[in-house]
Amino acid sequence: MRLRILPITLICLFSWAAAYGQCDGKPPKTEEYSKQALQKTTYLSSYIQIICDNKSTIIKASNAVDLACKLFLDEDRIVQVSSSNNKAVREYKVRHYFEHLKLLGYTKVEIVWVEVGYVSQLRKGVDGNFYGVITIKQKFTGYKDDLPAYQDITEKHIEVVLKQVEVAQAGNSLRCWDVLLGDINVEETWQN
Amino acid sequence: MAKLNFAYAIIFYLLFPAFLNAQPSDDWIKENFVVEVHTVDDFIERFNGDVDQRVRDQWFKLFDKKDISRKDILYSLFNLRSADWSEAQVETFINQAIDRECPAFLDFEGDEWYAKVNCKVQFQGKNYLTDLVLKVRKDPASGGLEWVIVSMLHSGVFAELCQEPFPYAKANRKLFLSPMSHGANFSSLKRAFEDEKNFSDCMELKSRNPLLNTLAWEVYLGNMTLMRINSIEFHFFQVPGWVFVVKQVPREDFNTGWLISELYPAVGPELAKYKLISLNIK
Repeated sequence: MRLRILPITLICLFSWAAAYGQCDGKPPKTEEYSKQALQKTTYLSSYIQIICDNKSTIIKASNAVDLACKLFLDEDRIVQVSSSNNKAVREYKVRHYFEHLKLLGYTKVEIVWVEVGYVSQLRKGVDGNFYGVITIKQKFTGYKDDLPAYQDITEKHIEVVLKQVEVAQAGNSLRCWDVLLGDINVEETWQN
Repeated sequence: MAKLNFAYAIIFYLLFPAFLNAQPSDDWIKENFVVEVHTVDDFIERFNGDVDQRVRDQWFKLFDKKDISRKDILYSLFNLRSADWSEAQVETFINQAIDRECPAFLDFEGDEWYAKVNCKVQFQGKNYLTDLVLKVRKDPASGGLEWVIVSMLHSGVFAELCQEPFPYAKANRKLFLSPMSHGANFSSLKRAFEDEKNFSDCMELKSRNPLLNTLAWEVYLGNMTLMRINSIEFHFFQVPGWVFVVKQVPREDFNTGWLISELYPAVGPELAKYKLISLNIK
């Protein structure tokens, strides 16, 4: 049981360590944001692996759904899934998307990063937050009884939101940029 | 004709490792993905000659060249499988864009470019296809940016238009479309339609467009739902004398992503006519 909760605990610890980046009160720097945004998408992939794996206990999968939702600005963010072979576009609110993944019934899931395609510059929104977009390519393999049952390659366009938050540190209050995920567009470019 | 060498090289590579349903190799995916024009931001940066070093390195490798000029980059931004323009026209356009005395650049925060979003909407229980036209607005006070709806193409959605002006002016706006909404295919529009009481916050405040006025009322009254976003295109008028349309061209080759898919010379009344017909903008 201890071993089962270890991966989630480790992700949580790393997430906490990397939660806030720049705390100097200046506008966010592109290099800093891209590093943090890519880190958050790595956590997202790790949570998805736990959610999809039907060996995960109900509690562990539910925890992973909760933690994955916390990576986003709020639960109203939308995951839009489209396929280059099929014109139908499916849209889910983030929690609904993760709940949907839970039902896929794979015994193991592998998500491999193929490449980071593009990290946009940041643009200030009218609410004072900063917004960017990153584009990544990933390979997903779902196993049933240790055999690959489904594979796809997806291109994910992820909106990233940088929001200023108050962080207490050694009795001082710092204003840091928190990197959160926004809407996601997932395009399946190849599947088998 | 020799000036189109780069374009022909790309066409050659279009025919290169086209795969049907065999799993593409990781190297092929990486090379193709790096060269892809990922978003309209990426398009604008490349148009202005600002190309990521990884893309340049990939081009050097693919085309065995030591340097890539802005002219080469501009050719690479055309959908090379489209036959809607002549080579001479493309050549004239590019030469104007790279003119030493007066080069043309694109400005994300500038006027004269629009997103046209084709949507499936449900109005009073019936489904319709319609286009919403948006532009980037800069708030003069904060310098912050947002996408705002500036127009709508009719497509027979409303049998009659509301005459009573919608009370747009609000002290505390609660809703806005982030300046990077386009990066996730304007999913934010879906959320905006669901927030019926604040939907009008996403509209151009100065607009007195009767269709937008009706749209604001009907969403407010809960009569209209955004079902799906079908497609997006960007119309640029920032190169004097020209109109071009950027569309997503998803395919597994080296001429892919957001590319110029239509190009027209247009000035004066022709330009005004184009804006009115294509975007319902005066």
